Amino acid sequence: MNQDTRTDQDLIKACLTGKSQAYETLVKRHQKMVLNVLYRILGSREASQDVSQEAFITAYEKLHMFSGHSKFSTWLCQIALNKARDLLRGRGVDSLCEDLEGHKEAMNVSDGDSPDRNMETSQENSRVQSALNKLSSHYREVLILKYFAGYSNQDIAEMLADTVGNVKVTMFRARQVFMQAYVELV
Amino acid sequence: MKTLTENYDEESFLRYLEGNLPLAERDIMLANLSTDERNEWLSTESALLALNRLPRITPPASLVANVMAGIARERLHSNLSENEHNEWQSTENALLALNRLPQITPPASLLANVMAAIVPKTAIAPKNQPLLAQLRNWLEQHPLLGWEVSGMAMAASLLFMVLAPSVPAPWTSGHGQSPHMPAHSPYIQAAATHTGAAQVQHARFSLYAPQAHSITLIGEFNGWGSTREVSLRPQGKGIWTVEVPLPPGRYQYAFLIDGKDMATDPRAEQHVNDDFGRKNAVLTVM
Repeated sequence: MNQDTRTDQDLIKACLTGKSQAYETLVKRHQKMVLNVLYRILGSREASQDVSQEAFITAYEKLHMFSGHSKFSTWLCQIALNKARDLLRGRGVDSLCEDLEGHKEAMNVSDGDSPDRNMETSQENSRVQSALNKLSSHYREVLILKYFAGYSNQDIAEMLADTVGNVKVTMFRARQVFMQAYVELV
Repeated sequence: MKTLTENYDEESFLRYLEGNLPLAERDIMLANLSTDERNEWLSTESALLALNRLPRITPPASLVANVMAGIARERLHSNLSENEHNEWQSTENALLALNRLPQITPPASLLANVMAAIVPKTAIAPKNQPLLAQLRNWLEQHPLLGWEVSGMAMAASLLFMVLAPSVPAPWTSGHGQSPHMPAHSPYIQAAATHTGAAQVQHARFSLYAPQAHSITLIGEFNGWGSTREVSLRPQGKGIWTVEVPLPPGRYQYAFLIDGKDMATDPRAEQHVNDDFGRKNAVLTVM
């Protein structure tokens, strides 16, 4: 299968001139990142799929507003995060994850290690997710964006419409709270 | 594996390999060796030489940064108490575990649902349509006239298009408007140019913005500024205008003031929400 090598910017231009099929490549390229960030923030596979879908549709509708000053992935993630926040706010909760029983698949690994090692890793993943779920959503957001998705402080600042300095302060506090929650579960 | 014989000792062999055996001594040693032993010495020497000549790779730029960060971290660690050190270590482990969380795979339905929900950006009316059909389409899309288009409404609109002034009058944006302003802006000039089969018309876009230093027109016809830059020119008294040839179609557009502030056209024939709480102006070219 031929992979579309056009840049995000080229694909966006194509979309804006009516070639909506170019958007398919953009969705394919970024859906995993968006879905996984949302899944770890919301703690619900179903909700993260719905919000991912909405985020992609909204991004398409607003595509003419994308200035190109930031990366498309950053801008897309900003839209997805706004939608996730709206959802949590609407339900009056900080996370949609009630327990980890329904999320075993997303905690399990099968990377060729021994069953014992895989079990150990799965338990550690469950512990991390449990610790994340104990955090308030704004702490969870910055930690996931930085340490799970690998975004820079600058990218995160753009996504959260905040300054890099504020992101660093939030990150510092989030790390502390996360560490406490994690250690308590060990 | 061969063992050392009485002809040479291990120390001499190592000194030979390291190049520390004096030349005269080396010749004596080699002369005393059996053929097999001499071959062993020489092949070992050439293998070590080849090892020395292995190509060098270039260190990545991140290496220095990582080393320096590591040193800084170690320095910081050395100043920490045992409790602080443990706390630090725990945080690092927790964040590492966070980084290693497995990723879930998007279902095929995600892409399918997104693609089913979107519609092409540019909904240009089909070209080569008879003028009357184009006019009917436009009237059917008009929010005031709706879908039921009577012959009288069409005639009235046609009359309006013909009688509409071809040169815009100044108006104020936001704080009241000039009584001389026509009902719609931008203006479709009565004298349309013809290029080939499609009828291209010149639309004049105007905005009153006395404080602006530059204004560009962004819309569906120029990829919202990404495919072609269309700048408005100051006409005096705070009025900026530009004339753009457009094929028949329905276009959303806005003005970008000083490269950062979006402004809608207050005199547009129609406005639609742009999802940012702002409104895009709509122009229909027939």
